[in-house]
Amino acid sequence: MVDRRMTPLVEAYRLGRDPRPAAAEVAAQCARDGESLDVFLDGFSACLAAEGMTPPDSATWRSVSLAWADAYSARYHRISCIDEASGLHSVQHLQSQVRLLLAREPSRPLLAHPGASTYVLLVAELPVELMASPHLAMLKDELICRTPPGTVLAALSGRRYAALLHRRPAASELAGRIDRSLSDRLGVTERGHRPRVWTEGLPHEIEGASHLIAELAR
Amino acid sequence: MTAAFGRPEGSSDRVTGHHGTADRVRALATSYAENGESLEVLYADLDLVIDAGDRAAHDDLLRLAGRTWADAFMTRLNRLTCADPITGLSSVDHLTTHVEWLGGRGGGLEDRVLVVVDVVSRRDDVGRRNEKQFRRRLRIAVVADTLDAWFGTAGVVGAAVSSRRVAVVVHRQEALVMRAADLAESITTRLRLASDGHAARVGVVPLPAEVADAVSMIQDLGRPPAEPARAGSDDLRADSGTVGRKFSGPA
Repeated sequence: MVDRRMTPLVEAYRLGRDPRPAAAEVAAQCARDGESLDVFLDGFSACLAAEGMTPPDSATWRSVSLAWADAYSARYHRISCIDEASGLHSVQHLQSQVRLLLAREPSRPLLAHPGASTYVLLVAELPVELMASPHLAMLKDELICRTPPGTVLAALSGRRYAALLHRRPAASELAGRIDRSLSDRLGVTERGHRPRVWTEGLPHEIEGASHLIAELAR
Repeated sequence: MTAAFGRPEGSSDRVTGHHGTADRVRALATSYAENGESLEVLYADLDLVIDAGDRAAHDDLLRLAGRTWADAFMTRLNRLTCADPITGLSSVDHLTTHVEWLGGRGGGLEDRVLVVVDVVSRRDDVGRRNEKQFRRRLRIAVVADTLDAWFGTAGVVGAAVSSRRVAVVVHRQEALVMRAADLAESITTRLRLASDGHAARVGVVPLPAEVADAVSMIQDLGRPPAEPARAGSDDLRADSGTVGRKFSGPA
């Protein structure tokens, strides 16, 4: 599937122009969507291949990767509790809240905090094939409407969201309901691609939970 | 994945075979990302140390470095919390979002209070601008460390609401008001404020029942005072805290 966001970059490359302005534009979009350098480069590569063009030289590769790094650095310096693209909480805010839940009482260092047992992460994800703004809006809408008010609802990436939920009442059943409802609203692609919703238990250690969230955000 | 952007077939072998440096480049790229160095700096440094004679191997190494740096940078980004890694204090934005979360869980804010610590020193006005800022940051770090020792990290969220004031949300405890004076003394001693004729001031403030009021109160704490505070003024003494004029002290 050709990524239309790459069009300015592919055009610049085709015309032999300096790729940096177009790369910066496309990279900024990728950073907003939380996409990795691999995804960015592979998307560019696939677009060039689809157009029958030769692979880019080293200088272009370097410009493109620097543009991605600049865009991500800009995102890094704008970190706040709210994710600017989705309006939901940021990954960093989710990390903070999970850290708070799992913090142990200093007087009882060996006693794991019950937060890990009582809370779960409900994760909802759209496949790339269903990625579109209206679909993302529906996904967000489902999560906001079906989770209790005040829930920490975070944008893990451009197409994956998570809610930090009390395990009871029945977080896994809620996941099933959201899954069915989303599939009804968005449909299933010809190849059977459909939204996925599931729950992740929290590790008892802060470090483990931090790692889990970082992995889910990749 | 095409040969141009992916790891080209056998590229890793070629790099390793020629220079034996692929692992070192990975380690270097990871280290740069974890230490906040930019990709541009990494590329520039690698240009200086990698033999450019073999163009293909040079490019392979740079691509390997770029991908590794990007991976480590994203991991670092996604593992950050809203807290400053040095002091452990959160941003004011996070503190207010946390209060909104506490209010939204249904339990209300009745079981929490704000502990507000003010530190001011005559030494703030001495030296160049950067020195003054550095001293203030250092003092805030000491206050954060003291608060951490007193309250621990369980259920406690705090922020430097200004360069001289720290506020933490903690569970309400009967003894807290009594302990506030001890906390103020402890911070005064650690920062050696008494030598300047100053003392840290600690206030314990109940959070308003309404979340919006609580958020507004926290934001007000960071605003500059209407009038400059005099040394030794007691506008924020250790007491069961009132909001308003008592919080118009040094900020």
